[in-house]
Amino acid sequence: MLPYIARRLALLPAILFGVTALVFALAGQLSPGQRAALYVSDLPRSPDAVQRIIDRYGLEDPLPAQYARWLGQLARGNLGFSTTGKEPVARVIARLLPATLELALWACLPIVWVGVRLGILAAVRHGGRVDQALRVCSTVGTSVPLYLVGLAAIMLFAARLDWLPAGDRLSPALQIAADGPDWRAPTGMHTVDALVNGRGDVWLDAVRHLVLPVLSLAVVSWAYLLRVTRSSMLEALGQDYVRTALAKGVPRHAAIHAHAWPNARLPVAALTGLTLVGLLGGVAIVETVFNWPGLGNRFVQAAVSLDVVTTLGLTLFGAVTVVLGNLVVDVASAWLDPRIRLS
Amino acid sequence: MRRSRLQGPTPRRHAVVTLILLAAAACRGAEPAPAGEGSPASAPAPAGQIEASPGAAQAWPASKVPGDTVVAAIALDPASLDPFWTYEIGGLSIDRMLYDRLVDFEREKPDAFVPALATEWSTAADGLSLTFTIRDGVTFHAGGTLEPHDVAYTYRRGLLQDRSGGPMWLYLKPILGVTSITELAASHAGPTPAAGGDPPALGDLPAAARQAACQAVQAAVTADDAAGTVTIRLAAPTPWFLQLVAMPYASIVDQEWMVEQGDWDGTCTDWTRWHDPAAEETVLFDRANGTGPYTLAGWKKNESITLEGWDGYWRTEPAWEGGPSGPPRIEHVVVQNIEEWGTRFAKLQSGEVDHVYVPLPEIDQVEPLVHAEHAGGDASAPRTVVRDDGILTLFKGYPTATANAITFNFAIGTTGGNDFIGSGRLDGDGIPPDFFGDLDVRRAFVQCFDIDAFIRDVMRGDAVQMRGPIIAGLQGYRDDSPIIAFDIDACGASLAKAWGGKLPATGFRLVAPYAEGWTEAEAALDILADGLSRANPGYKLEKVQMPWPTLLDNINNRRLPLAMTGWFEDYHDASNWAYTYLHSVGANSGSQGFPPELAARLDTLVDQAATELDPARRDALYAELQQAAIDNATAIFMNQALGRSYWRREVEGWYIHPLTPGTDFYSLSKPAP
Repeated sequence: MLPYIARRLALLPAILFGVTALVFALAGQLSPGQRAALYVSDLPRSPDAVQRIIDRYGLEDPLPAQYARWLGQLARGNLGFSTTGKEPVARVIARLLPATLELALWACLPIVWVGVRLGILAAVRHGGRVDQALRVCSTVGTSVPLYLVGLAAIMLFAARLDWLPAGDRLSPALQIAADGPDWRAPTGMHTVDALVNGRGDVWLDAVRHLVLPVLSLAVVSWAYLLRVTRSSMLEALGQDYVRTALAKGVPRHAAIHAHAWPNARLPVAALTGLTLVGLLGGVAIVETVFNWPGLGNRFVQAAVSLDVVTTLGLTLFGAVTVVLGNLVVDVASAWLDPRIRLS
Repeated sequence: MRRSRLQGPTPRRHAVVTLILLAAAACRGAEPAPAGEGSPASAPAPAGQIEASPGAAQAWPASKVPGDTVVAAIALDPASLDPFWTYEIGGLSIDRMLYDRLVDFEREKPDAFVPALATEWSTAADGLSLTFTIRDGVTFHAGGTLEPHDVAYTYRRGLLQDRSGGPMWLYLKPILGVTSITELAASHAGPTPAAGGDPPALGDLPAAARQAACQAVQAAVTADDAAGTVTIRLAAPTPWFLQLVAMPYASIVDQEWMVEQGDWDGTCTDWTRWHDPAAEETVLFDRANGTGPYTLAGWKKNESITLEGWDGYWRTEPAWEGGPSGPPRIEHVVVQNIEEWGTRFAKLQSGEVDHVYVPLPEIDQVEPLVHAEHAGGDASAPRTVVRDDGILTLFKGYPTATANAITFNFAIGTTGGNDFIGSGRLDGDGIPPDFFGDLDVRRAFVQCFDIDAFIRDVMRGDAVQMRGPIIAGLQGYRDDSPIIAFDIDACGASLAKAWGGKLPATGFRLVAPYAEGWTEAEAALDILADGLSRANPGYKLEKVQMPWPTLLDNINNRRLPLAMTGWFEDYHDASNWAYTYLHSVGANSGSQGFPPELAARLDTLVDQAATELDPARRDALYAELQQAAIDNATAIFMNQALGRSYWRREVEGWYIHPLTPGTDFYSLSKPAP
């Protein structure tokens, strides 16, 4: 397995080169004047204002030269300065990753647990009312736009019922405390740091702020996982070894969980891994709707503002995350199913 | 800000979002009023207060913001906190709380001043210098003591920094008679380049010229620590100069602290190192050390800014009657940048914020939350109670220093092709590049624009019609000056006269772009297109939405046949408006390509009026300019906006200053119920 992992990691630089070169090539489709808009937020005062920006940032240089300049900077460990983020790209990632990570980790609990359980339930009750109902739910879940779910949740649970906050990671008063000099923030994740600081009120407030974005994410992701789990379980339940087990008197519950599920879980595990990798890449819509300061939102802002440096940096980070995430999924698949050989 | 605004506000989200929010608001509106409510307010109205029939009472959540904190949710984040670098509302609205200036505006007045870091000041008889006496006993947040040399350093640093596209031209022009520090250095370098040549870069000029420029700046602003004074010399009398001194750009910094942090050392040795920096290259980009009532507790980029009240604030006496003094009553201020309107609205409803920015198209959603309305920019304005249990106070109808216009391009650029003018000929499928060079065409476009419909339907009544480039209340403005009125028949007649009478037979087609998300511009172009097609179906104006980068590229190449622009004045004086809309290098008119004869005439008048000290003659000159703009139909001067601002009922002390962006948090309080 180790040679396989090494080979996969050896491919990483080539993948990163390809991805970033693609981003640069796309940026090259824009004129220097268009790219200068990143630095000129309103009508230029003097006729040469835009040209001065173009000269200053070398936007008229040949594209390979601009790319080489960026690579040279990268080789020195510098991802560049994010104009839209107003800080170095590395700091943007370091500052926003904990928020995205916290959201992803909390979201994966309900997504996996509920999605898989409901998928198994639908498969076991195949054709029945429960199955029909869950199929409808999953269809609705995959069809409804995420921003609609998020805003509806805000309007219902925050604005109307006043049960939960409408956005942000903490309430203003507690956020001021968490930003204070005495606050220890080893992880940047409020639900962890609150425990480190012995602040139950902050922990509870952080969890309350997580509920709506996590639920919004879960509703959509549940549906995917439910459908995959259901079809995978249906296939497994139809296999001879399950029927044999049942014919030999193995209890139905044991046949499902000890015989069918171990064989059905492989695609489920793969999808779970990919879902988590996707969440780590940042969920722009949820972050925007809930004013959640994460990487997804920042990436979208950088892309629409043609902030090539930030887009490149975040693409690089995203590519590394995806490659490593896929690697973990592959290794986990081999571990779950000995028939798979990573060669 | 302070620019011709072609960019719109944050793009609105999907229409479905609006529907959800409207539905939620409608659900609330359907709730029955609690017993005993639904009748006029039980408490007697204060003097001057008008009682109206309250709407259905609601049970809105109580405020969750502590009494010593104000949370504002807007859709802005500063580009920089360096006062002399930033030229946008986001940065200036924060800087005004972190720093002090030599003088302050007297509350809401744009042309009356009160002492701040200067206890007194005097202007020389010839109007060419001002001397300020600097206040004793003021300390900066980091502990330094304010001295006159700090003030001189502040001004010199700003002038020499002069970042490209920044606000320093406002100060360079009156102090040194130039619009950039490069121009100043070039003036010391001998003959200027031939006409049409590129302007020289600062680095290309001789070292002696750069040195001379720095020395000229040093000489223009001088400090006398022993006497406790600072003197600023002007290149020409500038009636509005004190306004510039009171603006947040002129925030005073501590020289010693700045040098310690690695900023300019105050000498002319290598000052160009600090000239025209990128935002992040200045010491004050995301740090602050002022003398203002608040300190900078944190800036999470693109998320929020937190200010903390400063116990050591120097002001012990109110600057105006009833004004604040001592440490701020609101100890914590959190300004959140939330671009999504639905999220801002939900936070307002659930009591998580005290103030939100409400875009005009969304005001109907907020109305059910309003408790009382003030017809003006502070609590002294007439008040009407709308709903007993509303949670908001609305201030509305106060004049703002912003205006909109549609400008015509007299010489449309065609380099690299131009799809906006179609065929480029008068064949019914395009217009020639000099289409707007014909006065009858320009007059017709003004006549075809239904300004009343725009103000009523698009601005929701929150605007008044302009009578030229100069807004109401300034010199040169007349309530009864002639304007070109909306008249479809007259529009048709003007176009029938234009271009040798060819247009009715050929028709024309042009495309007008606007920045995506700017709904007011889109609606204005619709109104104009409708007027033209009613005059003659062959007159076609098509609108096209564009992302800002594409729009900027076309602006830079002067390809836009016409453009809707906005302007937020830099200082409250007719010269700012006249220069912007009529001077050949004005922010808006500079790209209109006026013909030489018209440009020369307007430039002369604009320059003459700006330096005229006799108020009557000055007023007459600006009236002449106002009329010249109408006579020549240089633009469709549309509307001066009226403002509206929503605050939680608990918050008191708010007022609007038309010139200074943002909120004076120092004046706010939340009295205990």
